[in-house]
Amino acid sequence: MDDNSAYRELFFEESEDNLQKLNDNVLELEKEPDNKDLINEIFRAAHTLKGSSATMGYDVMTKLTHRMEDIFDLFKTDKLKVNGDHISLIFKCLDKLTELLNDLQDDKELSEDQISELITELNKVETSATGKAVEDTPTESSQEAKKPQVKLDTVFASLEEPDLDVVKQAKSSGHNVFAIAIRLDQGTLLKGPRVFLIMQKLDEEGDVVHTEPTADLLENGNFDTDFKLIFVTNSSLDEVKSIINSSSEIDQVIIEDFDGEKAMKAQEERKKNPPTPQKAPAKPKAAASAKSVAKKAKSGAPKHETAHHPRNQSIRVDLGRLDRFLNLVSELVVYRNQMEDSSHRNDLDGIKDSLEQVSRLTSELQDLVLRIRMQQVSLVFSRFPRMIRDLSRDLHKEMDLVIIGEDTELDKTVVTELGEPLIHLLRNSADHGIEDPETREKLGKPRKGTITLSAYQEGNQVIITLEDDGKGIDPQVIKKSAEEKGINTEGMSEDELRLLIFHPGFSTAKKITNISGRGVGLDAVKTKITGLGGSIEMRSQVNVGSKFIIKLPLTLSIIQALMVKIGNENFAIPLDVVEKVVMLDESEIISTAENEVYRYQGGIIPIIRTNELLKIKSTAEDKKFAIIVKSDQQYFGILADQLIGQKEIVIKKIDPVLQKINRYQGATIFNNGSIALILDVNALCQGKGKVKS
Amino acid sequence: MQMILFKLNQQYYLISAASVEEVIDTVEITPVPLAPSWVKGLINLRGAVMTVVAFSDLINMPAPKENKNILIMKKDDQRKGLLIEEVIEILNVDSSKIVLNSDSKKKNPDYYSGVVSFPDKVANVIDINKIIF
Repeated sequence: MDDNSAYRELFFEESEDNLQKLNDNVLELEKEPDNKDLINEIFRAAHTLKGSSATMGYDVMTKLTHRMEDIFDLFKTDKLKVNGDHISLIFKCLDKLTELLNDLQDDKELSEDQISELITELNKVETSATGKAVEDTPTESSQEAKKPQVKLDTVFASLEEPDLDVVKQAKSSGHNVFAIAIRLDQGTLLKGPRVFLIMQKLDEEGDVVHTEPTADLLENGNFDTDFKLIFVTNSSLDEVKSIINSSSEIDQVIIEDFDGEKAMKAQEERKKNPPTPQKAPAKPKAAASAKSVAKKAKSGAPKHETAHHPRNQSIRVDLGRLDRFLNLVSELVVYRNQMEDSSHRNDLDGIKDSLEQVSRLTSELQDLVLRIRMQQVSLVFSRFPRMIRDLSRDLHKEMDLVIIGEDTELDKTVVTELGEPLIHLLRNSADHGIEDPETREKLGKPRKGTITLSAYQEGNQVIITLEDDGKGIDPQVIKKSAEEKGINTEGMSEDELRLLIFHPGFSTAKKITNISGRGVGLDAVKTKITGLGGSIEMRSQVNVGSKFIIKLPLTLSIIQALMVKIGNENFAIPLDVVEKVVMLDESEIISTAENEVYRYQGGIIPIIRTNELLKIKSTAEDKKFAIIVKSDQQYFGILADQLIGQKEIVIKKIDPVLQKINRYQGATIFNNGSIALILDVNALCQGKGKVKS
Repeated sequence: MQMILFKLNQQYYLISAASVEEVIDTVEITPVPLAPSWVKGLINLRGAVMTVVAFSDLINMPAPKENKNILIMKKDDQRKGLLIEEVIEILNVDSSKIVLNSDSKKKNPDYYSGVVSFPDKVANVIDINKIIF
């Protein structure tokens, strides 16, 4: 397996893709059981998966995929009707394959036990469809080598649909297709090289599309004396015969015109009645299992690790973007050389000119690098339809998931981190939001509930909304539940009550199900989203539904900010929270008993004296600027002495000691090298709120 | 071992050169409001933002009139600036020359690891990384 290591990563990536594709397509299939194109597509994906796992030598995976493929074949040939149970079984297989894949990634040995249960289930389905018992392990290896005493024929054992497709195409474009069976002399010493020579000769005249045993085994000489192949060529039968016969050490050759359908039938036949009681050539398998035992013994010491190894994170980049990257860099090199040249000649104007180009190029590069890191949200969204399908079966509810804007792009880190909180919210919606069909009918809603997940970009933010048309969140239920838990709800408005669902340790489900409601509910979601620099809001109406709105920054490290001066210090305020900036006079600030407020848009909003909060000496001027920001759906006015302007800034992390102050998001460096702190607006405003209460 | 000798208010201190990444001249320090008193602020070290702590505050000494140097201290991946009065020289100190008066061990803070006496002066050996990281 070690020599395959170079392909392992590739294999994992490809297989994950194929599994995802299978998942998606099977989900579709449940809705359109008669869509033959879809079945064909599923077949292709499964076939690739099987092929690549066989190439990598992962027998267990190959076996399971093979059996799954058999089921698809039954669907295809209408021997089996697609129904919910079958689909569920297929999904179980897909999950198992994902599990196997994870195990492989963690360098665990796979064992047949892992799949035996599923194989039994698959067998049951297959038997019920065909009325015949299925061979236990119709894997290729058990059928490869026929005993020499068996009459040589051209019946293939492992022909598959895609091979036949190739043959059909070749025939239709006027090529000859032959089935060839060759028996080497009993005493042939170097079987591998002999086969290689024959193959080479054939390759000069046409294409070998299928061999039995597989090409690898043949070239290693890992077979008895017989091998079979399908050959596409322009030469005639006699020509082919003479080519093969020109090789020595050949005992017998059969060449026939190849007919796909007949061959398939013969193959079926052969499966049912093997020509002679086969002594399965258990050699390769036994060797493999011996090896695996040895390996197990070796790996016995470090024990079973349940935690997954951190995966090599990789990202797929559009080639166009990479090319553009290369172009920009080469341009940059050109201008750097120019600049060096001008510098040698003390040509100040020359330096200025090239510097201008360099600065244009760097900002383009910056932009591009960010875009290379961007990933479509479909990366996480794609597994949700399957999840909702499973949930609706488990919960006996009917629901649909509508996904909008899955091509919206976000920074890679954000996309990968987003999965968990979204799963949480979706489960909540499915479990607590959507009612069962009967209740829905009574309420005059369609039996089927709808959950809408949408993503779109708005300025420097990506907004993800999750909406369901379920029962909504009843503030009174929250209130009761909160009071039971000892949370003081006195004087809270309905909105404030609803916000309690984000309270740590709050779970509204009266019944705790395994779908959701383990006590660590939405507060975990909120923490995660805030950790990503985003925010989450919720709107809900009883019996109409709930809507969660998640706002996320497009990228994590570069933001637009408003630069201000408080006292003599510079500060940055992230622009995404800024609603408006107003100039005001000290006299316009009204003192109330508990805080200071300012009239804004017909209401009054709390004023935050940043200089006092941060203990900075403010300039004594009466003219001030109030930066109106929105935090937790409420406006606040943050006072600043001077406005510097809007800037794109790079966020630099600050020391944990300084993070603890809980007033700053980070720091940034100005063009002139000086440093400004980035204010954490939410902490400032909420901190103020705490002082108030 | 190589040690850096620096002074603060007429007193001399030695710090292991292995714990110092570089010595720079003091640059502009941006104060951080609300930060602990020993955190002097942030500096821009070739594009990286670094926290600077004042040596005098850490050892409860009055601040010197002038801070000429910043030692960039390192521990694993972390970096911090240590604001000091002035670096005198870098010299080789035989570790057997470091004398720790065992009687006074109890009242000594844990960053203090002894003294080294030179013909003209006595220097305190300190391991400041113990308290700043």
